[in-house]
Amino acid sequence: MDPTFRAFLQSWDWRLDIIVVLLAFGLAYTAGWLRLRRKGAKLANRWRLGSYYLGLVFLVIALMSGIDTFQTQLFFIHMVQHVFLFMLAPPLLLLANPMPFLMWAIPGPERRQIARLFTQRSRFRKMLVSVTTPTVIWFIFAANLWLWHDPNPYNAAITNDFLHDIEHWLFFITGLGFWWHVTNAAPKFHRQRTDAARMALIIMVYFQNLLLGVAITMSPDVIYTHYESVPRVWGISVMQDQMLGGLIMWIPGGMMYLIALLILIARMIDRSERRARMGDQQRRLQLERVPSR
Amino acid sequence: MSCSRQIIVSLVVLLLLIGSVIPDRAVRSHGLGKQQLERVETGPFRVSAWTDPLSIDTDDELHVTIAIEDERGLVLNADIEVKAVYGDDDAIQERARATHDNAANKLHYEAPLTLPREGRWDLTVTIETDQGSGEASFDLTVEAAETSIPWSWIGGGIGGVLVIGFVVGNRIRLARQEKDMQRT
Repeated sequence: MDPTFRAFLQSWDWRLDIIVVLLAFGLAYTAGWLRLRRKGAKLANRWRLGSYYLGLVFLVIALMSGIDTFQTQLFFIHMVQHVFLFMLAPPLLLLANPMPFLMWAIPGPERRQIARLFTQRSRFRKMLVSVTTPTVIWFIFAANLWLWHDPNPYNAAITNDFLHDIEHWLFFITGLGFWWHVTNAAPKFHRQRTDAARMALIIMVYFQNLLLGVAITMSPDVIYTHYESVPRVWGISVMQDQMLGGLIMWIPGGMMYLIALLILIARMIDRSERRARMGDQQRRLQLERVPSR
Repeated sequence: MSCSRQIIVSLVVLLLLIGSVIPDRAVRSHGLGKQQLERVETGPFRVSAWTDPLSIDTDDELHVTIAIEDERGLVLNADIEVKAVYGDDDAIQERARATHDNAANKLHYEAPLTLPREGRWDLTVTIETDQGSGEASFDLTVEAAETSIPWSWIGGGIGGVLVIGFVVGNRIRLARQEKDMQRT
């Protein structure tokens, strides 16, 4: 095996803070899933549990494997890490609809108390609704993405652990906000979460992502000068690395949005076909009821 | 024991196990830190070095991360030593071997050092391989140790107290409500 690739596979940075948080969420979800399963809730199915675990596995890989330790040397590895953090882990976690399961992991009296925060009259809910509209989420998502890809914050974050952790948390949280609307996971506050609204949100996010990916790929100069100061790996030059990183953002990154868009289109077509079939059936029944002359 | 209690007990046991298995070094060795040598040519090599934390005091453990390149790429089989000499006083010095085991990124070598006096220290990186040897130096200033505020512990403690306070307060409120119901 190539010694550099072997080093990549062996370069794990076991961070206790991350392990504790992920383990706590994994176990809380499992506890809630088991409780709801015992109550016979259809919601608690195996694919949801699998999706949640897979989302956690992507977070583990993104934050502690060679992807995290090599991103200081290769820009494209850093872009892979970002794709994991806001395009792979969040949709997988949200497809598992974690809110009810996490709530059911909490003991009954405390669960009921927390649930009050989400009732129709709750001020907390009203505040949450106003700051998480699709437009606000799109703006925060895009601003965060562009901010961290500006050379100054980028170079600062890559040498400062604290800033770097903040960057990753923001990517993950804004990713959760965006995919929360797309997957329609609980809590469902927003009335206007129609398929068309969700598709519009995906298209808006897709285009700004595309623009950033293209801008990085096509740049004639080195944008992220940090990489000029570090030893090169696998003989990839700084410019090649930058182009590769831009391409990862542009193509595999964009693919996630397109997949989500296609799924929503397929669902829309399926629903309208079902509606048309039901309409046909009703018309046929009405015709059968009309006595022939 | 109910299922959720079993899970909580297993969570605590798992966390304790993980805490005892993960070496302290690995937990803290994230990122590169401040670059002190930028591909400096010495013998047949180019040396890069970083120090972490960004500003160091006499209580800190200093991590010196080193990467070695030759014309074929990264050199992964070098013997590396880091020597730190206090000011111009050769009598006060600290030495450590830089190894892949210490580094989170296995392409790098890392040496842990404690520099117990405040002021300027000269650090020399010595490289030995079958292909030749090299040496590169840099200096750094160590500050006097100050009582640092453990913000993460304080934050965690406040969070813990808030959760416990919420649970206890909620239980007391429920018990009172139940008593009132029984009276009426």
